[in-house]
Amino acid sequence: MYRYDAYDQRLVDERVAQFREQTQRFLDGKLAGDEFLPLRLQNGLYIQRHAPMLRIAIPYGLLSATQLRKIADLSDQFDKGYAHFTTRQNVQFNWPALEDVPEILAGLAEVQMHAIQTSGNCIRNTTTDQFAGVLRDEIADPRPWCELIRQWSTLHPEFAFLPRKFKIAVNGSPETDRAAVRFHDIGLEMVNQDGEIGFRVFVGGGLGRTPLVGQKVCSFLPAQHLLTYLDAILRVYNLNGRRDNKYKARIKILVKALGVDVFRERVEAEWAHLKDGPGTLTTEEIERVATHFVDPDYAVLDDADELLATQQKEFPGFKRWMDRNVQWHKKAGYAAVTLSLKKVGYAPGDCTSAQMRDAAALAEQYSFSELRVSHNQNLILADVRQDALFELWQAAKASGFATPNIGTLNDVICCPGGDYCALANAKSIPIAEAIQAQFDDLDYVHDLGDLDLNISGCMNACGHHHIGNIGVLGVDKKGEEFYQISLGGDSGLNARVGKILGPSFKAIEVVEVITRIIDVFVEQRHDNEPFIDAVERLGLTPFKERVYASTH
Amino acid sequence: MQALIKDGQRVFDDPWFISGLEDRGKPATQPLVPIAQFLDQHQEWTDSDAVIGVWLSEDDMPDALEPYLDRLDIIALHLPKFADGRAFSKARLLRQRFGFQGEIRLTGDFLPDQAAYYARCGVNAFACRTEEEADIAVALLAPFSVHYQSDAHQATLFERRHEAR
Repeated sequence: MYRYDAYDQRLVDERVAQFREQTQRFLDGKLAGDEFLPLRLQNGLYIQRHAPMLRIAIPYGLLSATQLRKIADLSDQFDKGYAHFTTRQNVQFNWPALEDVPEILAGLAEVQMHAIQTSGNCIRNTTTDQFAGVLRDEIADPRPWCELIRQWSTLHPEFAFLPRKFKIAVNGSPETDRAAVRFHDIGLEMVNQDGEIGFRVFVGGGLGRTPLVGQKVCSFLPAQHLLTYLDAILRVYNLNGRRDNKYKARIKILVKALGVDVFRERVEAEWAHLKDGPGTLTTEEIERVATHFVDPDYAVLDDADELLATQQKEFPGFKRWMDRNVQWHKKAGYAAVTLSLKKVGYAPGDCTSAQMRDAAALAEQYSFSELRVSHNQNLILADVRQDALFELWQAAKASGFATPNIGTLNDVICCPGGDYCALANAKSIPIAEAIQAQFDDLDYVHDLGDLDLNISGCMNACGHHHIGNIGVLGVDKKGEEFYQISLGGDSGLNARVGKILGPSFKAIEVVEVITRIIDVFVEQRHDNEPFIDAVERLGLTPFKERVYASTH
Repeated sequence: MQALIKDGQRVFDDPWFISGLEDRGKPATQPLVPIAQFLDQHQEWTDSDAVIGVWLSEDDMPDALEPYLDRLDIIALHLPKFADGRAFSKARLLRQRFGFQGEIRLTGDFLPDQAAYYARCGVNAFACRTEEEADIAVALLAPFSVHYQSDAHQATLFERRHEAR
């Protein structure tokens, strides 16, 4: 992973000093609350329902064991001994005291971490595939490009007060899209054109109140021009994006209003001035960053098929875990393992400090001391020897990480919701827990196959409900919490926003509704048909008929 | 208009005032003209010996000034709300694309904490909201000794990294 040199370190250290002074000025009453707001947001600090919330950046989800241990220590020292991993591959503290935040940031800087631009109307953490660098089908490793974008966007002087927040994602695989690039303000898809690496560029995707699929503005952007092209898009947005209504301020609204062709013309016109100027990447710089992402010191191994077959035969639980939580690897004899943070009775993405230390120890023992955070709110050990999987499974079970539910109905994506978030209309965590409790028969859940169920507590869509195969959205009706259900959302290459089933439900009805949807699927499913394909084939009608048969 | 910082120093005898927004008063004797008025009367202005200053509201774009930039001494970017970040881009266009050499002054509603970003975009004068904020802004003009991006003054960090090797 990327390691800071003296320049990088100086920058985060100076950022801590800057925020310490700003916080002091606020506490001294010399900086008004509404003026401190953008400054603290750009250091990840929200003032929430119960306490401030601090969002810490985990650039493109990549984390060392040392860093995770530091987060555990800081959560014990300044919070309640746990943290919440988010759908943007970041991590949040829910109970820090405002006065302590500069100290927390100083602690993070010791391990090359920060909270820069994790909130506010600026360029946020760039995200990518949680399996980047270990997949067999990658065009190229997207992580060096994510790091180059991280550096370019960090404290960018021109784009810190944009009309609205701005999110970029990079996907390196032509066959899948686990980074949901078509649902980002800018989505970058790596392309190999006659041996030259570059990007297909999508702009104007997003969730929130107006879910839209991003549109293609460039079919092939040669890699060295990446940053100047991003500058051009951001400048067109900064100067022309709406600032009169925050719900119409995202770039997707501008792209939609101008039409993608006019938008593209404006970007091209702007880019003509910036192309080949300063900011054009040099081969030397691309290589400097890429050397941080070379393969670890893999042993020369064969795939351990026989050993694993024997172990799976003897331990059905191990087989189930292998089926769902283990991913094949580009390197023979290795596998990528997902540590599930979705356990019945715990909020999705929540992790105690003890679990964080356990995960750090597992990473050190089994995976070259590195972890990844997925946008599905789980942790990943990306480089595990196959002959160590059985041992790892047992260790993961002991730490509560081995729920074999990755990609299933039980692997719910969920925002903090009304229990913690000041913006939420409704609670989301209790809904997730109720669904997980209802579908606790793991064999049944496995048989249902891949099924994304995403829950957001409000229109801001932090739980990505629009792109869940089943989406649940909390809405407020005259002070009461209701839930709108949608079907057919898809975050992948076949990007689609889910369709709303009909009138919303009370909290107490949600589990019954999900059960009826699953019943229709099971009854009408073709052999091994994925849920999303069945919804596409059947349409909404059979689901509607069953769901509204007598609940309303 | 006082509480002024210019090229990193406090200034106390500045002659400019924003015509149409501020009253003329001591020592303010020089009007900054609204861009629309200047463009209407550009022939008269550029034919004269006058020292010329123009101001832009948040919705005005600087592009139309390009033919006259050699004759302008000062361009003021006026902000009604500090959250409106368009002036960052406008300052860069003026300084870097159009090569404007004169003074770019920020006026209106902005935070001392934003001055550093504006300075990197090419703004070199700040008419702060209060004297106290002007003192704070002077101290906060360069909180960072390294920057990743190129700006109005500096090459990208990756270029400087390679020089340092």
